[in-house]
Amino acid sequence: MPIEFKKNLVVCREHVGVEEAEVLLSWLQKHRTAQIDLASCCYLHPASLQVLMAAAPRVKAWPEQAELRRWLQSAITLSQTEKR
Amino acid sequence: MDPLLEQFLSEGRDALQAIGEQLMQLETRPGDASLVAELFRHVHTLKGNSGLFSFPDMTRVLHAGEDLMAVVRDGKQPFTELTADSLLQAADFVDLLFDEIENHGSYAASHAGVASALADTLRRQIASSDPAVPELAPGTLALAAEPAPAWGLLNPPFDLAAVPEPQRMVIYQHLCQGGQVFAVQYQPEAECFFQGLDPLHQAMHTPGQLWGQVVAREPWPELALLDAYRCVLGFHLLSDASRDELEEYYRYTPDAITLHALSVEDLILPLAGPSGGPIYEDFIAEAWPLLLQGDAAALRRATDAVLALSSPALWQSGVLRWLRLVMAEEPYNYVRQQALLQCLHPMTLLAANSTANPVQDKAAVVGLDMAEGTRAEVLRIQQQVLQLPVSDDWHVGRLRAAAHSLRACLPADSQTQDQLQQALAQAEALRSGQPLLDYLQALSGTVPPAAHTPSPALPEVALSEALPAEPDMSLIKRSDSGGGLSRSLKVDQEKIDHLVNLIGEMVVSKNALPYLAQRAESVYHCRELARELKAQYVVINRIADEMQDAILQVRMLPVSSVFQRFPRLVRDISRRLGKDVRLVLQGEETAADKTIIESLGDPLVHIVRNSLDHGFELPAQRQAAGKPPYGTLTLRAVQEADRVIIDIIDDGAGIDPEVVKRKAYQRGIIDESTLERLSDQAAINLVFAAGFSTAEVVSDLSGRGVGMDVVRSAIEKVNGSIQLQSQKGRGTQLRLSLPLSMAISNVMVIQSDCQLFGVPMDAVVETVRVARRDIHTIKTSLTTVLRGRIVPLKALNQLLGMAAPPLCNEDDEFAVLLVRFGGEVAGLLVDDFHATTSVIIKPLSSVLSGLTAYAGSALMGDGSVLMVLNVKELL
Amino acid sequence: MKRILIVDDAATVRLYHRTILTEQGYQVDEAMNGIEALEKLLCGAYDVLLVDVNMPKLDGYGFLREMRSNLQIHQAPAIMVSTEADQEDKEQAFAAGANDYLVKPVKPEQLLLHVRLLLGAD
Repeated sequence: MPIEFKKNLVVCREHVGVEEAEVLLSWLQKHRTAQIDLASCCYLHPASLQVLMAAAPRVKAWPEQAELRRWLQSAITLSQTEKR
Repeated sequence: MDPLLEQFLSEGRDALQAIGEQLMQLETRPGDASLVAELFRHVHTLKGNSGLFSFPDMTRVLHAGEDLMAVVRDGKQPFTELTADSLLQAADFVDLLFDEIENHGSYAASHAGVASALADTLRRQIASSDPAVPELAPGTLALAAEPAPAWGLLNPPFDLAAVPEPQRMVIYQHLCQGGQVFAVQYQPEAECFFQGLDPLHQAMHTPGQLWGQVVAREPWPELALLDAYRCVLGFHLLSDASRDELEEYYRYTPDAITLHALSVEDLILPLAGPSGGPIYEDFIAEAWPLLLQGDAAALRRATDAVLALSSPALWQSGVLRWLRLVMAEEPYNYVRQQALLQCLHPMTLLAANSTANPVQDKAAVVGLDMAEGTRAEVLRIQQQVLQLPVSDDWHVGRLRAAAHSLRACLPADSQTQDQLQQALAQAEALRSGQPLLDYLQALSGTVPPAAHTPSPALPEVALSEALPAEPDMSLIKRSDSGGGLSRSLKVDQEKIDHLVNLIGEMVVSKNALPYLAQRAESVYHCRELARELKAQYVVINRIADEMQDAILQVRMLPVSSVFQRFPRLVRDISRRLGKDVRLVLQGEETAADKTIIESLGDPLVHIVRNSLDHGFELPAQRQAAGKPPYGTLTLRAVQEADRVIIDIIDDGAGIDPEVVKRKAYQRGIIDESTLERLSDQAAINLVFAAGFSTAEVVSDLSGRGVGMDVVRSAIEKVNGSIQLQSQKGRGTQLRLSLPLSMAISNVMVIQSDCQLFGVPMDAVVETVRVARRDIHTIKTSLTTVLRGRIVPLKALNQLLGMAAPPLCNEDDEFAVLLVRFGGEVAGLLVDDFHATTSVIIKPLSSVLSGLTAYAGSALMGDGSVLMVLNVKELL
Repeated sequence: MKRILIVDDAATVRLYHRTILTEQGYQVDEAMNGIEALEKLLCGAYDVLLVDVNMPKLDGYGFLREMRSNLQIHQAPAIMVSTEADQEDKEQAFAAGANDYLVKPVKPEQLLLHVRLLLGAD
């Protein structure tokens, strides 16, 4: 399972595909203060990325994979700063 | 359409036309230097113009063409058939792009491949013959082929301030070393996820990616309203891959991609952080003279020193880091160095820090520092000019111009300007730039850079005229300029047509005056008034005639506009057929109405193709027949009275009447009895019969199922006629006769059954009176004999379905109007003849348009409507 | 009002420069080659000239030399507008009598900057 929901934390692993976007969105709607752990995520479909950018949750851990980390950091951080 | 683009296309088409013609001429006169120079200039101008727009593929091909022409012009390479072929190909390609641009505002990205192939072909020719060119590094050529940031895309598609400074600096260095980097904006469609696209994956794997970022194209809505599957992401990328690679990579989504070749200016954006204290003013005071003196080492030391003192996060530190880098990479780019230094000026800081919008900041900064940098640059140029050799004849003029330039650039206070004037006077007297140089020297000691004591002239330039954020697009839209003295004017055809209609009505209305005069005399018995009316009519008549002529002149085009396509056509086709044909064009300046000229194009092409295909023999056959191996095809235009005559003459095999007769018989066009008694001329005319084609095999060139009958009907549609003469073994001559103008027609007015009708004068042969006894009835048709010829007669009333019999005069003679239709002559029995008159024939509208017996209607001077007959249809 | 003369054989370039300049309120006149430009200069004075290099009849260099040789003509500053960016080309332009040099295609703001500078203060 690429997404695991804990109490107030969502852990994304390996390849987060296009189907997960909807699940992620409805969970994040209910957990506005949730954190996200992307450490072992190695790819994120842009639909799911959109959800993360729109929700701008606090990131507990960024992906270990450098290239993906760079892309996600700039995207999510940018939308976080815009939100504030 | 944008007027600039419109101008570009219209000028470009002319240039392509000229290029095509000159290439053709060069084939016969390969050593003609002036022709080569002219050809070079056309290609050069076209390339330069294309650089104003974002048409990189067009510019690339033209640039390669220009370079090839340059080596030909400089005598490094002879002009060969191959040169002509590849340049013609390039011209065709550009013409194709023009078509697309005209229709869609741009051309498809898919042309990029063809463009590079064409450019390569052209460049290979230079490389193959000119040893000097391959020495240029391949990178140089690629860079040269890429246009400078083009019109419409002067700025990168996104703000490069998002790219971290160190990375921008690396890219800047890369550009300075001749490299190329593209800013790519990728905006996938909202529905792209449903098409199985993954734009993030695509963006991350873009070839040559140096930097990338995902952005939202619209603000994020509340989570509850978010549609996760509607893509609102945009991608900003920098890549050092080539344009071709990038276009290839994004070939399935060409519309979602914007490419911009980065220029150095795009990258130097020292915009970050808070600003520091006043130490920078001291630094400017120290650095400015160093820069003017060109003491790079000292300037670098000073810069390093102040950088060491500053916090790296300061705005000024960013500027200084750039200054240091520019000094290293572009040591002679004083403009850029001065611009950066000027950025540190407190006034600039004020501008940069006072507003919230970063884009405006940038514009303000750029406006200010560029003005100062430019000023220093221009001053330096004048110094250079003043040192030029005094021996040149134009030296004094040059000194004056330099002094005028200095006057504009220097502070406008009276002391400075007076001294300048004195220095100029001395310089002129001595014919030397030295006094002005001395003056400048003295001035640079006393006048500190504008940064410190702003001169009255400069802050005004800098502040009040700081450019708006996006000056480039807005500038061009309004072009209601005055003052220009252009010799020719482009006018919408509709406007001219409107003028033609108006003058037509005017001509008709003026014709009412004689009726009025007549009524004044006969009804009101005012002879005096009648005479005055007639006198006035004469004046108005003359003016109206001149006006009509003048307006019709506007619509006139020279036949050269049709002829000009033939050199190429003849060359291409004859070459493909293995024939050697020389084309002679005569009377190209002969002009006729636009509609006529335009209607000539297709028939002429068909005739010429026919002649090349069937008329001319192969060189061997020609020699065997005792003719020169090359054939001559002449296109000749002359004006005869109110007609334009176009002759198409070939010295080919001619038409064999026997072959034509046989073929016509086989096709069932003529019967056996006709076959026997047909004259040679009549036989030759059979080629105009519908469904006739003399070719044994329908060739791919002139075949295509279109026969000479189509040519004839196209010509007849514009009231033209066609005549064919041919002598077996000697050649063929076709003569087209066309009216000069469509708008005004001469008609003869006739009367029949108490009604008036018009008959176009083109159709009228003569008017005769025929006594009743001379009219014979053969079977059911009436005939008479005129000058030894049997002429069939028809009663107009009967043809028009009117019951009344034709009337005769007191001498028992009928009025017969002899008319021509096709190649034949017939007589129309009418009641009476009236005068001929000029009218404007308007086609019948709506319901009436089905009445083919009429060519149209015309308004007469007394307000009545005259129906004009279509003789051909009638008979 | 400041008068500027554009000397260029390409109508597109003339329109481009004219549009940028008239937008700013300058009065602009055009000539299609060096000969025509000389004729205009003999009829009236201009404040700045934009001069193309490659033109029929009389090219930019020849035009500048002719103009600078005729002292009846007001010796207005001239900007040579060329497609070449080499130092050699620039020097040739200055030797012929140019006072400034721009490389085509010229960005609007760049053109205005140089023109304003050479027009000086009113």
